[in-house]
Order: sequence, then structure tokens, then C-alpha cells
Amino acid sequence: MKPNEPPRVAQWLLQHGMPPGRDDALAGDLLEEYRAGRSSGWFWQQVLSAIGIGWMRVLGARGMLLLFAALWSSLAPAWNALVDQAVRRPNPSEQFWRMDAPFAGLGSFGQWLLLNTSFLWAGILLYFVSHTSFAKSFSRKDVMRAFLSAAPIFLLAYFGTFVAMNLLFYPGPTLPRRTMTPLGEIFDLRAGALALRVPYFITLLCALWEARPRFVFGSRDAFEAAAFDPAPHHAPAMFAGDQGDRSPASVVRLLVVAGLINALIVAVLLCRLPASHTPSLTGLLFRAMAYVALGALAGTVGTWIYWRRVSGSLGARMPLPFRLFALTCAAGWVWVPAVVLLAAQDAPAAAAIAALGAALLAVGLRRTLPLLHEPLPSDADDRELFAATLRTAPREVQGYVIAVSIYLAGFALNDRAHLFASGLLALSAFLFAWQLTLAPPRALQSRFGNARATRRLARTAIPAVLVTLWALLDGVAHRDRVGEANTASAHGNSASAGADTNPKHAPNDMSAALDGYESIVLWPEPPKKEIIAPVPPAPVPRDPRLTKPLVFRFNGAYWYFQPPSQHPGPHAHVSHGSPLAVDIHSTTFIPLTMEAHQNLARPLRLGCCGSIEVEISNRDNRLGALALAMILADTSAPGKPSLYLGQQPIVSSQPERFHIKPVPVTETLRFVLPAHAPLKQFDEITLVVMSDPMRIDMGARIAIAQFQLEPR
Amino acid sequence: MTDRGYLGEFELMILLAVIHLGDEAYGVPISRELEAHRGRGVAVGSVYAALERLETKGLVESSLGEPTAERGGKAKRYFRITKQGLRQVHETRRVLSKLWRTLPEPQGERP
Repeated sequence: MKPNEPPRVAQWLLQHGMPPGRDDALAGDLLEEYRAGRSSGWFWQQVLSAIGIGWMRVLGARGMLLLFAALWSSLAPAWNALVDQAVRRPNPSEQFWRMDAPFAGLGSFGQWLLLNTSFLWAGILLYFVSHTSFAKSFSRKDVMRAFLSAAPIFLLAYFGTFVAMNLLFYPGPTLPRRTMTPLGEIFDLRAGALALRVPYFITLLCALWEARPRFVFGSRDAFEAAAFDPAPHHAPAMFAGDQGDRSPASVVRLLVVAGLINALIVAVLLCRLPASHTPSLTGLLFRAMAYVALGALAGTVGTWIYWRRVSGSLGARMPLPFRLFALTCAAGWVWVPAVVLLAAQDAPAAAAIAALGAALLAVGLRRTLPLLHEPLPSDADDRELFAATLRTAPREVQGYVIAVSIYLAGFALNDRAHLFASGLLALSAFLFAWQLTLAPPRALQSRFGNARATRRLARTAIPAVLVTLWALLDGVAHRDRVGEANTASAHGNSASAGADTNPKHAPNDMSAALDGYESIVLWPEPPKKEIIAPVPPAPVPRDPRLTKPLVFRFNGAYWYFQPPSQHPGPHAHVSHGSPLAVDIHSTTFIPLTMEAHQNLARPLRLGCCGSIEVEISNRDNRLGALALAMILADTSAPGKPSLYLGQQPIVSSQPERFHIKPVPVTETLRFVLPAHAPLKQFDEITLVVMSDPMRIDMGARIAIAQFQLEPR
Repeated sequence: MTDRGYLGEFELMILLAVIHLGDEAYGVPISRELEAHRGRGVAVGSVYAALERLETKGLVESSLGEPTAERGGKAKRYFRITKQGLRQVHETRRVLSKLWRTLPEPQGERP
């Protein structure tokens, strides 16, 4: 007999597996049909098809979003490389947020998060702006939610991806960025690069998901309904409910910034020094011309994308035609490649060129654009009643911005953060030139304006090409100097060491020196290292049974490694010195295992002795109990059989005995050997340092001094 | 724009079912109507997906009924055709009829 209730699992799936935002009508219909005599199989089939169809419809409606998120996140590896460079580069503003332990990493973390969020915000902005129904689809709430949710979603997605990748591919895939160009990183489809894109893809998808219409019956979605609504619409605005809020001045600011950002992105990605070390002057000149044209074109395209959307909202109120606007702005974009090239070489001239370009841009815009601000209200009416006007003069913030920018730029130049200084000086120069230049009272006639802007662009492009050529020449010379210095350093090192004279290594050295490094790292002269001859394994007697204690000093190595490895692997850190004077920490919060290995010259029978005493020196001054575990192994036997002898506490590290130890404390631990064990002989003694959970991410300042094997 | 957009076969069948059922047009009877006339089963989910599209286009409109115990406390969603939907059905019929009239008879076969 068929039960009155449909399968519970299917019901649960129907309730929780459907896309959100739907009512219960479908579930009610399926229940009604089931109770009318349909089978459980029919119910299952209907539930699964309803879930599949529902999600297909939801994802289909967000096809553009999926495509956009995939495309934008494909840029993530290139952006990530830039972020890495920015985080590692000294930054003047870092002095403001630098904090001491345990918050020392917060500044870098904040910078990293800000840069990544900026990348996501740029994508979100581009999505909103380039959407075909921009004016009618997105409410201010949608836009705000997308921007505000990007950072927290990114953090969660990044953390989740990090954990998943470590679980699946520990210690994680590595990307050889040194040998990759930005374009190569964009088209890199290896597992590591794909994993890098995942958090960006998820973040864009989640942040913009609700910006698309929900499929709720009874509430017609404005986005799709607008396409079918026969009623005439008003001119679209930037945001719903925002119609007419934007003044031409703010639109011009937006367009200028959009063009600048686009020109900067293209210049950073594409403007490179020539691969040849002896390029011809003609070749460099053509390259400079191409870069200048590229900067102008990229800025114009970036401006046009926003212009296309924004012009609809302002209609006839746009202050000038796009052609004139683009020609005017291009006189500023042409300087961007030179600035980027010079900044990449850490040349202070980058800031000066940026300021020059910004000032020229401001002058051009000011002379081309008519007065954009609204005329001040007349105070004639006030004066009829009062001796002076009641209105206060509008507050001018440009002066403060200029002063602060110049101050910060000087600070940045002092710290050799030239790209940052370039941005600040460009801002102050732009505002200063804007304030000084007089605007025309009305818009010029289009043909006169175009001709004048074209002449002006031509006049500006010539010095821009020359400056770009100079940046290229200087860059090539700079790179060659660095290459020669590195090569000389590499050869000098190998000669002084007298060890690596293998000619096969020479090409590698050369390529390492010339593969894009543009700075010289001056390391302090390393202290002379005492060369210790390799110590043979500890000698043991041939007699299978000891008659007196056998004492030998520890001359093995200390190993440090991390889970999931249970034994030292190829990535383990090996140290032959004494751990008493060094601090070894895990930088990844993953526990660190410390072991000491002692090899014997030949295998020793297990029955030869009754116990092994280990003399240790303890100079560990951190809280947390320590213990030492001993493992004997026979490396000569197949399968390397081993015997665990248990662990002994290090008394001087126990909480009740703990004290600060200015000099090492000597202690002896005794491990008893069983009379009978599967292990017949051993030639390796391993001591494992067992740490208290509060200190498992650091090594211990425990040194093994000697072993004493007591006869049975 | 919608005046020039023609209906798909499934959408047209659903619109005709909604017209035929009148005030009793909700998921279950619409699905049964389609099953009866097509002679094969239909996924209720696909019926709802098509009704969503039609509602988005403004060809049908819907309203929730009262929750009932036999449906587990879940309300029915009733659908009605709009004037625009009716005009669309007539337009589609007109075009299809015109096309059907131009269909040649298969040679060598008797009707």
C-alpha cells in the first residue's frame, strides 16, 4: 500500500535544493498529485527535474555574469603578481600603519586586502557600467551591496581555497612567476593559476548574484519587465533612483579617472623594455611611438566605455562631444607609458613626468570645457535687507589636497616609492593647473575645438615620444648595468668560493642575472664560516655484547619538517649546528616537528645493552613542557624496521621547574631497551622532540650532547 | 517588441491550457491538460519554468490562493491570461494557419 506522504528525502531536496526566492506552489502541486495516486518514482522524477530546471533557469539568466566573472578572474594571476610586488616594495605609508608584534602582519595584510578588493571593485564597476540595461536594472541597494560584500566574501573564498588546495595538493602548487610575462600569466591554465582565480570568481559571482532579478512569482522583475513594457521610458540614469543627480562636472571627473586607470593598466601590462640588450635607436623610436599611441588609445577606450553609458543619462547636457573630449584627454594619456617605464626603473623622473602630463591634461581640459559648475546664487536679494550677504563662500578643498599631496609625495620620494609619488604629484599638479587656468565662458564650436585639440595633441605627442624613448634608453642601460653587476657578482662569488666552476652553470647564472631583475641587492659581507669536515658515524665495537658503558658524542643532524610528512622528506630543513643559539619557527602556523638523527658505523645488536642514556643541553626559555622520544631503526634491513622506546620528559622544561636559563642546563634522560623485540639490531638513533601544544609551531633550543649505552 | 515575438510550441500549449481552464488554472490541472492532449507525461517544473517566462513577458499573470490541508498547507498559484497574452495567441494562430495553408500534400499518398 502506498504511503500517504511522499519520500522524505525527496521532500527535503525539494525544499532545500530549489533556487531561492520561489514560493511553495510547485511543492504543493507535486504533493497534491502524489496524494491523488502518483508513485514515489514519479515524485522523485518530478523533484529532480524541477531542481535541474530551476537552477538551469537561474544560471541561464546569469549567463553574462558567469562569463564576466570568468573573464575578469582570468586576469587575477597577473594582478596577483602586481600585488605581490606592491606588498614587498617599501611603501612610505607603511610607516603610518606599521605595528609591533603580535600585530606586525596587519599592515601588509591590510594592504594586500585593499589591493585585491580594488581589483574586485574595478570588476564590479565595469560589470554595472557595461551592462546592457544598466539604467533600469540595478538599484542603489544592489550596487552598494555588491561593493560592500566583496571584501568579506573574498576573504572567506581565499581562505577556503587555501585550505582546499593545501588539503589536495600540499604544500600547494607553485607558479614560477620570475619567468612569466603578464600576458603569460593571464593565459596560464595550470592548476596553480586556476586555483588562484577561484576566490576572485566566487567573490564576483556572490557579490553580483543578487544584482540580477529574482524569479519570484507575483513580483515582476524590473530588469526583464522593462524589456517588454510597451510604456515609454524616461532617459536612463546612472543608478535607479539617481536620475539627474549627476552633474556634468562629476561625469567629467569620472571619465578622466576611467581613462587614466585604463591607460595605466595597459601600460603596466604591455609597455616593456625590449628583450635585446643592444636595440637600435630606430627600433626604440618606433617602440616609443607605439607605446605613446597605445597609452592614448587605451585611455580613450576606457573613457569611451563610460561615456557611452553616462551620456544617455545626461542626454543633451554633456558639456562637449566625445571626439573633442577624447582628443583633449589623449594629450594627457600619452605620458602614461613613460611614467610607467620610469617608475619601473625607480627613476625619480617618473614623478616629474607624471606631474607634467597631469598639468597639461588639466590645462587642456580647462581650456576646452565650458564652465561646468552651477553659477553661484545671487546675493542681491540678501543685500536688500542686510549689509552683507548671509551666504558663506563655498569651501575650497583643492588647496588642502594639493598641500597634503605634495607633502606625501616628498615623503614617498624620500623612500624611493616613485610610482606612489608620481600619483600624488600628478594629482597636485592637475589641481594646481586646473585652478590657475581660466575656463572659456561657453563651449567652442565643435570644428574649431577639434582642430585646436588635434594640433595640441600633436604638439604634446612629440615630446611624449621623446620622453618615452629616453625612458626606454635609460631602462635598457639600467638593466644592462644591473645584469653586468649581477654577472660579475655571480662570477666573483664562484671564483672566491672556488667550488662551482662548472661551465654548465654559466648560462643559468647569466639568465638569472638578466631575466628582469632591475635592482642590485647588496648583502652584508657574510661572516667567515668555519668549515667542518664531515664527521663519520659513531664508532661501535665489533663485540656483540658490551662489557662496559659505551659513550659516543652526538654528531648527527637536526631535522625540522611539517605535517602531513611523518618523516623528514625532501622539503625538510636540515641543520648541522647547535640548536642552542637559533630560533626556528613555522611561518605557516602548521606544527613543526624537530628530530635529531644519529647514525652508527655498523649495526649494534639490541641485546648488547640494557638502556641508553642521552645527555642533553637545554637552553629553551619559552613556556611549554618538552619531552624526548627515542626510536631505534635498522637502516640496513629491508623495510627499515624500527623500535619505539617511549618518551621521557625534559625535567628542566616542566612548568614547576621552569626558570630562565642564561646558560644551558645539562640533563640526562634514560631509555630502557626491552630484552626481546622484533628489532634485532639497530644502526640509527632518532630523538623526537615532543612539544606542548602551545609551542608546536617552533623548534626547541635543545642540543643532544652524547649517548651512553649501558651493558645489560 | 513583444508584438513581433512569436511563442514557442510549449508556451503556446500552456497558454491554451490556461485559457481553457479559466479560473481553475494552476499547476496540477495545467499539467494534466497538457498530458491529456500530448499523450505523454510532463515535468511540472518545466511547466512552471514556462509560466515564469510568460509572466515575465506579461502574457499571463498570477495570484496565490489560500493554503489547503490536502496540499500540506501550501497555497495554489492561479494563472490568468492577460489581454496581451490573448492577442499573442491569436497572432500566433493567424501566422500558423497561414503557414499551414501553404503546406503541399505528400505526393502518392491519400489523406
